[in-house]
Amino acid sequence: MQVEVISKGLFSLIVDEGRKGKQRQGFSQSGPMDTIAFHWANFLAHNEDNTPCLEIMGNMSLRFSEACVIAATGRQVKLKVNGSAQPVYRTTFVEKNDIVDVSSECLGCKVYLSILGQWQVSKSAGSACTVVRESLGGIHGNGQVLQDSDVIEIVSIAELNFKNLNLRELPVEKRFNYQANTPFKVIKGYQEAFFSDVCKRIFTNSIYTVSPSIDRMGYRLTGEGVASSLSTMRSEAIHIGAIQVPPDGQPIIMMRDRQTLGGYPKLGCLNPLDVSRLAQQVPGEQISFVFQDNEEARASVLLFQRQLHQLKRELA
Amino acid sequence: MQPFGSIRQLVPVGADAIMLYFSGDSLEQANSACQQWLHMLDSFASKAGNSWVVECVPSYDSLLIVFDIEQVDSHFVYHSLQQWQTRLHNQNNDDYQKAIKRHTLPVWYGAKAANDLDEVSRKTSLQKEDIIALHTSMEFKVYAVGFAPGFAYMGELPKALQCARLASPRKKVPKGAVAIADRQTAVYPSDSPGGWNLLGLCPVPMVGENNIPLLSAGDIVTFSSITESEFVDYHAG
Repeated sequence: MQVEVISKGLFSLIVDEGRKGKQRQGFSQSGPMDTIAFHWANFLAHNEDNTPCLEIMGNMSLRFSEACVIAATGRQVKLKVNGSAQPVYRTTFVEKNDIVDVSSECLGCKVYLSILGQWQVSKSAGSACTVVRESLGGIHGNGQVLQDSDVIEIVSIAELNFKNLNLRELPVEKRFNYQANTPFKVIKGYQEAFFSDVCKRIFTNSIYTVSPSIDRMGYRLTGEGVASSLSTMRSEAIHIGAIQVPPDGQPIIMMRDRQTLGGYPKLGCLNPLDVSRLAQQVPGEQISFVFQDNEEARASVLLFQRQLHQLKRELA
Repeated sequence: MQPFGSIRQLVPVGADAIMLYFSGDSLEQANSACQQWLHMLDSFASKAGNSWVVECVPSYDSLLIVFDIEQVDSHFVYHSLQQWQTRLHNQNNDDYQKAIKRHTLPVWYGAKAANDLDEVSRKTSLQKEDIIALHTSMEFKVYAVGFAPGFAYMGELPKALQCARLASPRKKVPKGAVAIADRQTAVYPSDSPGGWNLLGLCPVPMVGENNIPLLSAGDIVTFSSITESEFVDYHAG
């Protein structure tokens, strides 16, 4: 089956779970910006966990050469088939030559479109992820994001077998809450000892604005400065969600395509669940932070995973 | 988390990772301790029951350990490290030494596309020939790989060759450029922005077939000077 890109939207690319064990070689972690929406998309389209998926910004339009099964997820996601609106977060059947439009009501948010089948895209360094900066992945294997008239080859299952697939739908109240108004949880770590108590107080008592300088590498925020007392340090590994503070005091939260090593002081890291939430904030949105104990952070992740597994069992 | 052995500090990094910092009289020693721990962690992680080790990312004197939060917590990781510490002492060092690879990288010094020799000469008060002689005279150790795929930070340059980064970084440094900054040297694996001083071009690809980088942390590298025609031959051959 061919899936043809009629309109690529603003910035759309192929992602899977990302490169594992390759950061020591300098490859960025890569992977979906919003892991939670990515997993739901694959689950709802009856795909295996690590199947490639489209991460879409703007309005993407695709034509399917065969009947197939899809699912769209993400913050304020909208799905249309041949111009008519369809339910989202749900197993969706499309017919041969159907035109599918996927977008978010909130410009700049990421939506995920999973298409059932085996994606005929090559892997580099163990992953199908597109990383522009590293010239890796993408359908041409050179790190280019999707372009108009690109064609993705997918070996789908026979249409006869569609009837064996149950209709999975994630109820609205079970969908991830992307609201910006609950504070983002930060686990102190790294060079936190070099940030004064006053600094930390300022950090948790201020409102930060998501700046226009956001991309897959990092989200730059603007607000009260929180510079550390550390002037030089050796480059070291940067973990996902790390809050890096350059000398100007404006925090940058490091995301999926971040460089592997860096020499700016870091105050701590976001709770992993909040990384997905941050990924879906757009420039101009206001956010705040609260410190969270390590144990509490782990408990929140474990609880989330448990509920997720249970939900999947109910829907499967 | 109290430090022990060659680990001078352990700090939390988010909910699912910890960072180890190593001690030593020199950076070289701290880096070796880091390599030893990494080597051991790799061999443990490859065994059944240790699938909680998700990713290890070494740098100059630090090692990030990312663990599977669903299987273990940071206390478990800390206790495992403590137990392994005793084995680190007993571990035969041969194994680790064997993993170290040696490389000789040819360099066309002063290649037109990558030539800051005048500037380096000004910064160091060394003649161009002396700069090349110093750069080819010693063994460098790969302290870390990062920044971009296959970009190896090698050190340490002799003090005489130490020189500051460019005042403003170049938008494009060519693939294969051999560069120095502070007390480090590196070969740019691909065209990229960069602020290091360029000495010449190396024809050997830093990232080989199947995206496997040539150099790994701990490897030993020496540079050798080649002529323009040898450089051209290398590409032709």
